Amino acid sequence: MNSLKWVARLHLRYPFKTFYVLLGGMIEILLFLLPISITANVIEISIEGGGIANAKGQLWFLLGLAFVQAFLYFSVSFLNEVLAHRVTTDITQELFESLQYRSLTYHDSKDVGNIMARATGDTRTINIAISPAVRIIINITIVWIVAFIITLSIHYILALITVIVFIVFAITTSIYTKKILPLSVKTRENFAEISEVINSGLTGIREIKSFVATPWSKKKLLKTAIRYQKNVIKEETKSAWFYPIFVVTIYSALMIVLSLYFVYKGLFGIGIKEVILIAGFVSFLTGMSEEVQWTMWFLIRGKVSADRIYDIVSEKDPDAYKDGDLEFESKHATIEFKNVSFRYKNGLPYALRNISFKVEDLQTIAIVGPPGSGKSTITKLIQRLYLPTSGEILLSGKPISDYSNKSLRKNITTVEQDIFLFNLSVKDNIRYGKSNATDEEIVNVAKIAEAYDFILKLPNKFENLIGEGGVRLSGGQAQRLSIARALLLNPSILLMDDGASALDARTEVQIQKAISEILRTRTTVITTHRLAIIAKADLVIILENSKIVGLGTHEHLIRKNPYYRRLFEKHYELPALEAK
Amino acid sequence: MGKKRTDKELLVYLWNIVRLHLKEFYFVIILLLLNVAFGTIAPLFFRKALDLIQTNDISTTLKMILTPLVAYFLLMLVKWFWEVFQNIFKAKLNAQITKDLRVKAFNGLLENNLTFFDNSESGYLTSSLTNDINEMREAGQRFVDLFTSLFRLIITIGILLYFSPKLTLASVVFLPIFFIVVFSLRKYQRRVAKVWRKNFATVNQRFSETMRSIAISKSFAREKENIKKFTDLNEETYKSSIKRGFAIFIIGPINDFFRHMLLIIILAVGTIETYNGNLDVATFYLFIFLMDYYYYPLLSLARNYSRFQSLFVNLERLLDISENSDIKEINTSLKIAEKIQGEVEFKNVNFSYVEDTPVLKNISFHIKPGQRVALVGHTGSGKSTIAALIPRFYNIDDGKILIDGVKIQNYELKSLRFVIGLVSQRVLLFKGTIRENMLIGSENASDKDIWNALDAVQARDFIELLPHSLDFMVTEGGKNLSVGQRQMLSYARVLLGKPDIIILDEATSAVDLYTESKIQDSTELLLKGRTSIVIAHRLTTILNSDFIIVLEDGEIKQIGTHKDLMSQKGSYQEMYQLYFKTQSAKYLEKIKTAM
Ligand SMILES: Nc1ncnc2c1ncn2[C@@H]1O[C@H](COP(=O)(O)OP(=O)(O)OP(=O)(O)O)[C@@H](O)[C@H]1O
Ligand SMILES: Nc1ncnc2c1ncn2[C@@H]1O[C@H](COP(=O)(O)OP(=O)(O)OP(=O)(O)O)[C@@H](O)[C@H]1O
Ligand SMILES: [Mg+2]
Ligand SMILES: [Mg+2]
Repeated sequence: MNSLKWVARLHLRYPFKTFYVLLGGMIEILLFLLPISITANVIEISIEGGGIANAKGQLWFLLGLAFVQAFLYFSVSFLNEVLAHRVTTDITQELFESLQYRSLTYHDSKDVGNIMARATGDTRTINIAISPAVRIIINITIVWIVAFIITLSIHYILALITVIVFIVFAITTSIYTKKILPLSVKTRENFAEISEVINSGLTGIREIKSFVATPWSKKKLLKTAIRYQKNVIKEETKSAWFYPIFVVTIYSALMIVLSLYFVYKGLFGIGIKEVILIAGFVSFLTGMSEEVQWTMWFLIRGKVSADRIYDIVSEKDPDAYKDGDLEFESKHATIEFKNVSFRYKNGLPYALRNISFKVEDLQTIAIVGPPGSGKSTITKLIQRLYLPTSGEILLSGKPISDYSNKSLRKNITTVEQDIFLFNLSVKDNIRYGKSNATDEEIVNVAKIAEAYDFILKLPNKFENLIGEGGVRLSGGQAQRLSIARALLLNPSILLMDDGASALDARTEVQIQKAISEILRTRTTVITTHRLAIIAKADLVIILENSKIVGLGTHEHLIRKNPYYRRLFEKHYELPALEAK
Repeated sequence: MGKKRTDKELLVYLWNIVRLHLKEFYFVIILLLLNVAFGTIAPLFFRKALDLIQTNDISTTLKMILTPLVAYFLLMLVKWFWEVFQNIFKAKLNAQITKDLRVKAFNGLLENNLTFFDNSESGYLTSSLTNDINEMREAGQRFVDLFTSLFRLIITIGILLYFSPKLTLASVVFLPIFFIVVFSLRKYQRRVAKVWRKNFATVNQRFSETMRSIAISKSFAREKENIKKFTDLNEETYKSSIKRGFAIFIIGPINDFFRHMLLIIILAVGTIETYNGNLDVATFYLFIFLMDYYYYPLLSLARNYSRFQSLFVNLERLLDISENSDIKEINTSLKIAEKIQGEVEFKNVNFSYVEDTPVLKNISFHIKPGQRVALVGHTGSGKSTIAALIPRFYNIDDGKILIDGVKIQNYELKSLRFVIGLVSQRVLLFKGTIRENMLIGSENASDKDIWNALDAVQARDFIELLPHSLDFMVTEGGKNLSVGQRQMLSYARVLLGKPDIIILDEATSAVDLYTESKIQDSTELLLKGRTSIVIAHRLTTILNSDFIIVLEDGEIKQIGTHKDLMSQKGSYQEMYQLYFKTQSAKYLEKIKTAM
């Protein structure tokens, strides 16, 4: 299926509207043409020396027509607009939904600014293409048909000329369209680039200010904006040379000249009335055909934009996986990695190599290792955000891919290292994973996460908005909200990825105390650099360069494992506790 | 937000941009005038020919008739070429104006203060600069059309007056009514356009937020809720676009109706006048023929007028965020901060982000040039806030912040930030290569400098393993690097700028202890001689500071060296003991005995 079929199919969801617009549009334009012949009639009356009494009937008719035509015109054009918005709303919706169910690998390769340009910029061009561009094209086609009929009624030679001109017009228009298309593709791309640059400048504003990089950022936009400008000019210059209309212009002039000439010569029995009819008509035809210039251009842009959105909607996601149907039932869970290797993308080094370990039910494991060694990657694999490149992960003895997404999500939650909070109230952030949580539950987890006190100090307490990405909170406050958000779900497996890095010792100890009960009753995976937590774990995994270089209990490792010892070696040189 | 702008101010703003392209502008106008003139004169030849034929005198020769016809023909041809040129110049002019508007708005936006950004959403703002401006471009196109229409209208009425004042008067009788109708829709049009653009921007924002939060929303299985929430927003937007569509499309039928009325009047009056012998048929027809010349401009005037409302709405939104003096960072001085010694002093500083919620209370301390100072305190106590005040990201409520004895407001803002390097707690990398990310603050650094900085933060190893090494493409926000790796890069890029004052706000919180201590050793040399302020929860990081400032709830509780503070019974001692109890000491004892 291609993008046009897709858009057409979306229209068919609204058969009545589509039908009404198409048919109504045809009738409306016919009604619009009627006055031309009425005019010719009335003028004929004058030529023949008649007065207003003779014209009365025609004028009354015209008055009635005015009402009907205006009503029809409004209903058609407005319904067309409604339909266009309806369809583009559906397109936006489909785009949004398709992004929701993509794998994380897919998302890794996408740029927010770019997608935004498609979601709002491109839908808008499609919108304009549907209303009014399509309708105008229909109108024009009808006008040409009527032109053919009228000229045929006068003389077949005129009709023949009309047909030929129409064919030439249609062919040249399609050639012209093909020429503009690639230029439009470029401009739409450039537009997305602009959106990317602006968006990245705005999200990175703090860095930009701090590094005094405003000139850098401005230059970047200037460059893309100029590129866009140049391409737009190219595109529009090409579209300005809309030579098909040239043919029509000549045609209309020719028709008028010819018909006048015929009258003068007294040929074919053409009278002034016919001349007026033809003149009125061809000048209308020319006017309409002129509109083809921008309508075609809008249509092209609409098509390009539809392609761009359809590309995303229909794009294959090779990393998508089939959802299993196994329910994750018990509150007890084991986690087992069997020879798991993983890389985020072909061509990138492996983030995990041959990882094997097993976490028993209710155990706590700690993962330690230098930056980039693969700790977070392990937690992401346990959540099935990615599937292993090779090897197998078992949860409670069953392959992870057998579980249903829903039950996995409900039973595994995470305090992620790279915290993302929403520009919602504190409360809505905490209940992100469980929208029907009661206030009591929310307060409860807030207390456990040591967030309660600071929340109460915020101007609007639990209703306080926290800014995009939580910018209006301190680092530790954001982290505590993220802890509360995870605890609210009461999961069987809790993943804490460096979940205390932004906390001071006191807060951390308090949280530790509060959640130690929770930890005892579920399987927990913690990545951390804090010895106190590590030492309490049932199992410690040491990662380095994507490989396990040590596995065992703290007591065991500290005696035997050089990597582990190295991590904490420095502490030997710390001043001993002086106060005691 | 901000004050209300009058239409005049908005137009002046636009005109100031148009003025930069006067050449194109005049070109367009001239071409346009000629074009209209051609278009309006051509029917006169037609009338002439019609007249000659209709009266059908014996004296009329073929040549007499053919001359106006050929002239008509030629004029139509010339008109076509003219139109092409006109469109080309129009496109040029428009594209330039769009670019200028966009660049100017973006540049303006970047100069806004952080309070503004704290309270706004990037996707929402982006929409203003992308979609709204595009929408304005369409309006700009119409702006030129507006001229055409007016000019056509005037010429046509002029010609008509010449031929038959009576008929002309009859045909302009509708004009005022028509304009009143169109004009009265103005307010409604603006209102709905405003809501529409707002919703549109929110859709943009929602996409941005959802894309950015995709990992977390997957972990929490929020897909369904996300979609549901989006559907609500999307439908809301749909409704507002329909309202806006109505406001625009209602003009159409009104227009058509008036056109029919006009035709009826011309036909009726024309028939009567011809009957009475006051009018010849050819002129009668000229009126009909020119009617569309008279009616089309009306139509486009009306249509353009309503699109203009969107232009005003969009421009107003744009200026609210980009040219609003209430939200600008104000540069109060031209004094360039250069060759800074690095003395930093806070004198009774009070600060609040939101009115009546003080965050820092009466903060005073004094850092001598080259000293290393640690800021410690529980989370939320105000450490990052102090760090943000030194480069003047926010303006303090009262008190003084001095660098080298000069109030920071008395330095030129950019130069002030230039001498201060801040490794912020929230790390953000840009989409681009690692090299580009490193060069953001110091464009001219060589690869050797870059590697030196990277070496200092122990980042060489991992970068060398990446495909293309320094040219490895970092994705948006640095998402394809581990958090620790991002932190190392963000530290390195500050080191690369060789700032005189360096602030490390949890610069190594995501890095393991071993790597951290290596970083500490290797940055030792680079930090020497520079004033540095270190914020860390890991107290191991700060032991060798010259002095330590202990913050609690926005107030300074203690200041002194580690030794001093340990000898006082106070928060620091408590913190320290707790830290080492939980961190290592107890276990280290065990380890010692175990071996
Ligand atoms: N941009 C902001 N707008 C409004 N309030 C803010 C903003 N940034 C911080 N705050 C508030 O100011 C207080 C101090 O925050 P700050 O970030 O300085 O704490 P911190 O000491 O750095 O804490 P942490 O150790 O958690 O990073 C907090 O209560 C926080 O909620
Ligand atoms: N989305 C991604 N796309 C591509 N590569 C990635 C992605 N996320 C992480 N990596 C790479 O995978 C490796 C492992 O990263 P991971 O985040 O697991 O490290 P980590 O051990 O958690 O480190 P840290 O202590 O810094 O958090 C790193 O080399 C990193 O650059
Ligand atoms: Mg990590
Ligand atoms: Mg902080």
